[in-house]
Amino acid sequence: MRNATRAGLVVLLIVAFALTAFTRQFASHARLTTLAGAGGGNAALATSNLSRMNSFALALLLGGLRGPLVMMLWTSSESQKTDRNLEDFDTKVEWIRMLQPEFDSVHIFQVWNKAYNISVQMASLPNKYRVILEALDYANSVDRERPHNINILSAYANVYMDKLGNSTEKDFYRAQVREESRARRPAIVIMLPSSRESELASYLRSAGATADQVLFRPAPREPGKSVLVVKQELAAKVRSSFTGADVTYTERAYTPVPRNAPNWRRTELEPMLDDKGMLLPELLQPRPGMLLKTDRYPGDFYNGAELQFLEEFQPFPYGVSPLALGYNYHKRSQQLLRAGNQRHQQLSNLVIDSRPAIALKLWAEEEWERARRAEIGYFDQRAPKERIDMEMPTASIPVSAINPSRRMYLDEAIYSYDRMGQLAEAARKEYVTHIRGYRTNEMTYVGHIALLEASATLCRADSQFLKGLLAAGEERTRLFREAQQSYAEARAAFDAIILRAYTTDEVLAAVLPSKKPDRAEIGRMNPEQLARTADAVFRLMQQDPNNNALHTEDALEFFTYIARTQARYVLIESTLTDAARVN
Amino acid sequence: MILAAFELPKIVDDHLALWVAGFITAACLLIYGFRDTLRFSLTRAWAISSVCWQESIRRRVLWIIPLAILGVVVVSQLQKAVDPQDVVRQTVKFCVFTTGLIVVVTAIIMACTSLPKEIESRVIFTVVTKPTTRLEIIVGKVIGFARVSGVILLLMGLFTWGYLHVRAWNLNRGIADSLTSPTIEASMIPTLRHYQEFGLLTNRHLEPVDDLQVYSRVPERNDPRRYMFGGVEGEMLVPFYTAPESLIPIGAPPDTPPGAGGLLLELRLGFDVTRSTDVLGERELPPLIANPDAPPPSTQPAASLRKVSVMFLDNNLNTLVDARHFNRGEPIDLTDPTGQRPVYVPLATEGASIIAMQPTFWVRITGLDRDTEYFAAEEPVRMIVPALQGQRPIVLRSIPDPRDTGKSYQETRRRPPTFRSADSRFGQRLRGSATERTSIALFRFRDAKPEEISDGKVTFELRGVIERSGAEAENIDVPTELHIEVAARDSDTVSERIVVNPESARTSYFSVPASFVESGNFDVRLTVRTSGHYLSIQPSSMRMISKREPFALNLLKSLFVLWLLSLLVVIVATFCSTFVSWPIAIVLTLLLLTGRWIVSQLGDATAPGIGPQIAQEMFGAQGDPNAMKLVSTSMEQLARGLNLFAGILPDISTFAAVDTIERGVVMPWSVILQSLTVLGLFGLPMIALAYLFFSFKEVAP
Repeated sequence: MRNATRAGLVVLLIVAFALTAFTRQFASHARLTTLAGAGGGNAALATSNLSRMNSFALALLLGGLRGPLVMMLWTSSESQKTDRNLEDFDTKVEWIRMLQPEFDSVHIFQVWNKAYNISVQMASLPNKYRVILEALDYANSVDRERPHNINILSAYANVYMDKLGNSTEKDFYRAQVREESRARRPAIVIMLPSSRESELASYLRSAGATADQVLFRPAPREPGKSVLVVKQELAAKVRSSFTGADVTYTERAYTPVPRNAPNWRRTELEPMLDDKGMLLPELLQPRPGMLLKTDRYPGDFYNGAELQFLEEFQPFPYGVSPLALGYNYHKRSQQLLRAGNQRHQQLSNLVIDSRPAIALKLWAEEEWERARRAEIGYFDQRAPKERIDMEMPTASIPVSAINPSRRMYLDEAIYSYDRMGQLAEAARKEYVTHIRGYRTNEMTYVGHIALLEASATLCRADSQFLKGLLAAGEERTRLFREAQQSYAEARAAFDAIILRAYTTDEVLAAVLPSKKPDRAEIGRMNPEQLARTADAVFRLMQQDPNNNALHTEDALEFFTYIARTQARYVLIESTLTDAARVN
Repeated sequence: MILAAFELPKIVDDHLALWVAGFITAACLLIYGFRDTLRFSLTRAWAISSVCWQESIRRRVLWIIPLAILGVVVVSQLQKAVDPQDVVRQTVKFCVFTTGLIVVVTAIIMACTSLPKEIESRVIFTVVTKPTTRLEIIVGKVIGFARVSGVILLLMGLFTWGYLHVRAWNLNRGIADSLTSPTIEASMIPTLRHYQEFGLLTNRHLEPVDDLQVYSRVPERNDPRRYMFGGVEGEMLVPFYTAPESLIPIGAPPDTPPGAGGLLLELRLGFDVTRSTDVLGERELPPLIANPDAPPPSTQPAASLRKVSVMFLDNNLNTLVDARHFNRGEPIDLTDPTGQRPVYVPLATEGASIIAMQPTFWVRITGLDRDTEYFAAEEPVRMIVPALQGQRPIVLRSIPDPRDTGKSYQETRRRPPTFRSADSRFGQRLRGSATERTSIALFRFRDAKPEEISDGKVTFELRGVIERSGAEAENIDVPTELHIEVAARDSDTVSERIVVNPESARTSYFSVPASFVESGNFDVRLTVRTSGHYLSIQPSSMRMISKREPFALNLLKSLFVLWLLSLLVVIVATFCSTFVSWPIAIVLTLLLLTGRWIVSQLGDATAPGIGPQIAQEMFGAQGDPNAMKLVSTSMEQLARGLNLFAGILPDISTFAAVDTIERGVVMPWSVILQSLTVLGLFGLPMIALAYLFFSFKEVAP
């Protein structure tokens, strides 16, 4: 009798457990169905996986102790952060995540906490970068448990856009993300006598290697020898110069540490591209049954694919920018707001709706900067730190013949100029759509649009100029003429920006032909009039650089662009004249 | 009021627990239970313990072990560690903590429920009707439950040992792969190599430093002068002990309060500007070098004048005397670069009176001029009590050097000043510079002979917090570079420079040829050689690994400490179960075990002086003095009573079984000794009391 009672109890427990799991699954399904239904899309959205099992098991196991344990973990992890003792900080944060899986505010905080507060506690840039990747990993863990959540996707986007794409250390992070998003290629192991380490190090440094890439280790089972693992591109640059009977170059396949290894930590992003620079198919795979649409925004839809909104920008021969990824996740958040009717816990609808446009603008500016760097690299010059200082170094350099060994720089520059134009147009559309719904920041965003259009025209001109350099005969002349035309248009656009946005009424009255502060008049002026008027503003600035009414510091940026358009215009003219004379 | 009137003699107050323990044990066992104590038979007690053991087996107590093992394995999989050593560290923590938890919980439940349930079910009849004494029953129960705890510890210990070895073996394979990975971070390589060489499960004996000083130059062997940087980068601390009566001028009337005549400070400090250009750092040239035709800046001090600031600090290095009482708050001008001509500065009566109330204090001297190195030789600071007419002044010297014991006051050399660098939140901040002219941290090791030398080298650990100025390039990584040299005191030789690239707040390892450290007397010199980087250090930042011990031995020590803890828990629980029902016994056991810890968590709320503070907060400055006094006295006595209560409870923090083994540090035998002391002090009287209560309890008709 007693055994029978026990067996009954065991059966009851198992049934209760199964029922709990079933009701939980049902509730989760209902939530996602509501989400899909709200946008008018297909109702079936079943992410039936066991990803939340850890959280569920922990909650079940701990019962009422969950609350006190979480409280203890929070205070302990935060005090560890203050004391800069991070030894089991990540473990505690992970447990908090598992014990409070349903609190989005917890996840928003922890992603930000890791990406900003913890990463800055690291001394070296690679370690800072790794901590930021851990923040992304945290967001990814939550995303697996709670997919299509506006709070989590927005946190993801902020880390990519603001931290990796736009922080003080952005140059390092952008390069890392682009490199790691590409398909992995085998590395090269160089084995050499230990006595020649400094010789190889100097070759590598002149080939552009950073200090972090030149780390020799003793060769296993080869006394007196060292090994160095480098990327293929770097090895190719030194292979012909650094040789010897005792030097070997061996290819080593890429073998990442398995994720289930006990000391696994994210040290790099997972590849997103194939060998051709196309996004991996699984990243573009729509989630079954997920389709969110709204009649208010007819062109928009959300299919749940990881990188849905980067598909139109393929291929990515130079890797994926963190700003591009930031755009993708901001766009997904925006779609969940527009068509999924989700609301962010901490940010207003206006902010969520505007982020994709801003991300596209930043991405466009990054491409512009990359193109400038490549152009400067072609002329074998050292790129200045600030983008504005990159405008003039190459503007007037005459090009007679293309250097084949540096041709790759021109290809990259042309790609980035063209990409900039494409992004500027996409950003313009995003801004326009946003302004239709939210007029609060209209003036600011109209300014962004004007700047993007002018910059895109300048980049188009630069692209045409570089393409002209690579072309010959009639084609070359045609491209140069088109470039001249584009430079003139860019100049007019920048002139108009200066007059509209960087002059006071007092200054405008002094320089406009009507002698009245009538900004509508600017729109009616032809390019020559615009140029003359902007030049007049410039002269005023030269006469009185400290006059606050003139916005000299801000306007100087646009006069630099104008100077570039003029320099290039003149350079093309003289190049064409010389060519005509030779013919 | 009763507590207020009840003042204990100091010798009793200081060792209250010992006195109470001795009295209770003697009273219960030697006076009341003298006969039972004489009749005590270990064989009978063992027989009763076997009954407890069988009862626990029957109740399937040991089934908790597989559950605990499952829990440990699951939780270990959910950890996120910074490196392989951290994986092991966290796993050790989970294992030992879980072991301790289940042993304590099992012990409480078993010991609290055993007697009450036996009485309730009348099983006790079969025992008490036998020729056994109540003392044997109590001791038997304790031994029985201690046996159960021992078996749980043994099995959990075996699991811990095996599981950690499997994990360590698995992680070691990963280390080899990581070392050849192209993505490995530079600062991790020496650390991983260290793990590879010594394994992840060895336990280190860490030799601490004797002293840490921060200078601007390496001290010369026979030169008493020690240098520090100006510009508030360096400071020196001179310790003083002055009896209040020594602050009364000779010949003053008997009722003159100490410090009434003020004080004079005598400073003998020199300065040197010959290395000034390097101090500014290589990115910034002094104005006169950058532009020789420019007039000198107005803030440039005259060549023969340098400024210092002086502060009086208490023992916690907090400000003791308001700056305005000393030299009217103005910096002090040093006029003699050689430091031979003293400078006298007055300390006002108000300041001297404060010093009279605080016999131990520090004088802190900070160099203010940025382009200057300041130096001090022997005894740079003296205090002078001004003389009355016709009398001689009193000269007060700093604290004597402990090495000069037995000499007269005048002959004794004084303790050298402590040289430090500016404070940060994480210790003393060392400024980085690519030039030689940067602060040098000197970690002094004395009588620190390494007992284990591997390949002719001895390993050191270094851990500090790195901060960056933000002025460096952001697109490439510039690792923080530390230069380390070891100077052997006896042979006067200096090792080759060792370069370390640490990560902030992570332990870095470096090895030093044994010849420089084997005498045990040596200095480790540390400089930061990356401009714009700052390293914050403390004396504990540098440790020498003097020997290693097998993990199994350390684990055994930890388990033994846990067993001692479980013994204490069993005794307390058995004691409680003799006079209350089992649910109350569980609560009371927890209260007795954690009471002291709970009171310690109250912190300042139980410190002397809390009464007036609360009264002040309740009534304000204009409150009724009688009411304030009532509240103040009551609160003081309550706090005192609480502290008295906590003082007679066991201090379970001495059973520190997890801390050392978790950090991979050898557990000192003193931990076991302290645990045994606490067990003896509280276990014996508790057993005696349990016997007493149980004797009075009617358990059978």
